[in-house]
Amino acid sequence: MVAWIEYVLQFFPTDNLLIYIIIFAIIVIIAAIVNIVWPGDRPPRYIAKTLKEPKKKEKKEKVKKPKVIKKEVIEEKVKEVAEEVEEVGEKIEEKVEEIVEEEVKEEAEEVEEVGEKIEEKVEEIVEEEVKEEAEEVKDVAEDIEEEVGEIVEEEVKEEAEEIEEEVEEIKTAPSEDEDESENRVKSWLNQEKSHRKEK
Amino acid sequence: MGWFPNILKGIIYMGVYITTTMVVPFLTFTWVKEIQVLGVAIVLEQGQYERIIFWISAFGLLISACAFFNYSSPKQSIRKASFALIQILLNCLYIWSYKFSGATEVKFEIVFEVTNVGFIAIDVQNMVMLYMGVYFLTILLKGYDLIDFILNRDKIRQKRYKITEEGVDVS
Repeated sequence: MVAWIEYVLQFFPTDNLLIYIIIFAIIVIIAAIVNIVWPGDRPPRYIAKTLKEPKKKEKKEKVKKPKVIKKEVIEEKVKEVAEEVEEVGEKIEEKVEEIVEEEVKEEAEEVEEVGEKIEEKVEEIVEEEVKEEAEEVKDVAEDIEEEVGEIVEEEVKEEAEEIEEEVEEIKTAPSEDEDESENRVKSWLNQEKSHRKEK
Repeated sequence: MGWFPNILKGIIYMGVYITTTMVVPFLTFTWVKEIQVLGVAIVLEQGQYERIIFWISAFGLLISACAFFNYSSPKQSIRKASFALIQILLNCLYIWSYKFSGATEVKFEIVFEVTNVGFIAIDVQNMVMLYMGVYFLTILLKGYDLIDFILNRDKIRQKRYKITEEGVDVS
């Protein structure tokens, strides 16, 4: 009992009484403030809030208590509720239809846009293919022209040789009249020219 | 009970403690310092008079401040119990200060005219120790109160604020 007193007294200043006066003043001021703010006759705010809530809940529960209602009132209420439900159902249907129409329109527009895009792409592809085919056809035509040119040249050479041979034969063969032979040669040449043009 | 009665109560008790722990001992020792009995001057030889007064004043101030806090606090509050316990501990120190400052072994020199006839010594250490025993029991009681107030905090609040199932009676 006595030992702790002697231990504690070591920490008390022995010279300056002013320290004790300051401590005295501090304790008194704190006590005054604390006991004015919380005098103990009313619960603190944080306690009052938590304790007042059950009262409100009870009030709400009282409102929820079932009341005795007549059948007629119930039927009227049921009818009112049914009508309201029907009205709400109609409104919902109208809204659904409007929404569906809007969606259909939007989808149709989207489909059209997609179709246009596809058409554009198809056209582009077709044009490219046509160009490629035209180029191929040109190449083929050029090849054919070259071949035809060669064939024609050969035929023309052969024919020219034949004509030369015939001309020589005509020249060498005895003729009644030189004019007739010339006429025959000219007519023959004209026939050959027309024959070439046809080819 | 509002704040004003509490503060007034605290001030009254603080005055009582200032009187009993500071004023009365100060006057007593000052009076005893030089007293004459049948014309014979009994001089307080104790050179530690100032030391006694210092410790009486120091602990008297602390005890009085704690008494103000204690008695201005609401009943059964934790702060009241806390400061009551602190006050008792300071009372122990206060009583003990009588002992270590030499006030429990006061020597009075008997001076007759100029000559020193002899001295009278008063030893009150046993009385101090008796008080310490009483204070020990009081410390136990105050400690019990403090624990009780802490543990039964909700019940005390329900009683104090008249809390019913419907809520708090704030009025």
